[in-house]
Amino acid sequence: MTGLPGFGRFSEPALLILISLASGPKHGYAMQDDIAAVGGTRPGPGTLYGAIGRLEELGFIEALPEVERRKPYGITQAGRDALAAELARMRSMASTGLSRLGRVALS
Amino acid sequence: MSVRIPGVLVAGVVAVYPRRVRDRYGEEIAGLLAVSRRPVRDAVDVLARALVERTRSVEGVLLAALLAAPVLASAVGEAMRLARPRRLSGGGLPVAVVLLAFAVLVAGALAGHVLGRARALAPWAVPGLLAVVLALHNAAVYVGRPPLALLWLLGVVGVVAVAGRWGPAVATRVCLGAAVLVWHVRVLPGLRSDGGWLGYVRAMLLVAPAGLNRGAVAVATTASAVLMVFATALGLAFLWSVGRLPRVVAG
Repeated sequence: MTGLPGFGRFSEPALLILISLASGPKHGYAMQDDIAAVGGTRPGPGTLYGAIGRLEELGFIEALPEVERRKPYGITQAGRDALAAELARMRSMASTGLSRLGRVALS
Repeated sequence: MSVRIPGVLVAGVVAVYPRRVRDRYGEEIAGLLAVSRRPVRDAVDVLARALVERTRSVEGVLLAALLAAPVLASAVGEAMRLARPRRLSGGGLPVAVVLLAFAVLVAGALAGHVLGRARALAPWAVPGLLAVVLALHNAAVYVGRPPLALLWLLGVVGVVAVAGRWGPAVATRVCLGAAVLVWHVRVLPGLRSDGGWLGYVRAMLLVAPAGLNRGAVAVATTASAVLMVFATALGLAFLWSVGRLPRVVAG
C-alpha cells in the first residue's frame, strides 16, 4: 500500500475526506463541516466531489443507502489501509524534518 | 451578509459537468451549493471543477487525434516524397525541428505538471515522450510550419496531461504505436534508399526503450536522450561551421 497515489493537487482533499470518514459515514455537508474543523478550510462542493469521485473509483470509499434524501459515504478497508499508509508516511517525513530542525521528533 | 445563489444559477453551473458526473453527483453538488455559506467562492469552485471534468471527458478522443496527426503527416509526407522526389529528398539534418521538439517536450511536461495531472517524470514517461519526439521529428521534416508546430505542441501537452491521468500502460503503448508506425513509414524507406544507418540507430535509440517500459531501462533511456542531445549539438555545430544552418532552419 502506498498511500494516495495519483491524486496530484487533490491529494489533500482526498486525505481529509478519508480522515473525516474514518470516524464514521458522513454525507457531503457533514464532511464539509468536519474537514473545516480538522483542516481549517471548508472545501467547496466541486473540490469535495472531485475528490469523492476519485476515491470511489479507487474503492477507498463507497456510497451508502440514502438517509433522508442525503447520500452518506463510508470508508472501505482499502481506504483505511491507504489512509494508514499515507499518515505513516507523513509522520515519518514530519519526524525527519523536525529532527533536522533540531526539535524533538514526533513520538 | 449572506448571498444565496438562485436555483437557476445552481442548475446552470452544475450543468457544466459532463453527464456521467452530473448523473452521479449533480444532485448532491447542487444541494451543497444551494445552502453554501460562501456562495460565490463555491460557485467558482464548482464551475472550475466542472470544466476540468469536462476536459477529461474529451481528452481521450483528443489524444487519439493528436497522436494520429504526426503519423498521418508522415504518411502524407512520404507520399509527397515519392511523388515529388526532387523537392523533398535530400534536405539535410532537420536540427531545428529536433530542437523544437525538445522545447515542446519541456513545455508539455511543465504544462502537465502545472495542471497537476503529471507527477514527477517516471521511467515510463521519458521513453514515451521520446517516442513522440520521433514521430514529431519525422512528421515535421515535411510539414514543419508554424500552424502545425502549434499542433505538435498541443499534442505533447495532451500526451503529458493524459499520461498523468491514465498511467503508464495506455500512454506508453499509444506513443510506442505511433513511433513504430512512423519508423516503418519514414525510417525504413530511408534506410533502403540512401543507407542512412545513422537514422536507423537514432530511431532505435528512441523507440527501443519505449518498448521495454520499465524502471530498469531508465538508464538506457537517459543515455539515449543524452546521446540525442549531443548528436544534435554536434549537428548544429557542423551546420554552423559550413554555413548551412540558416538554410536548414528556414526549411
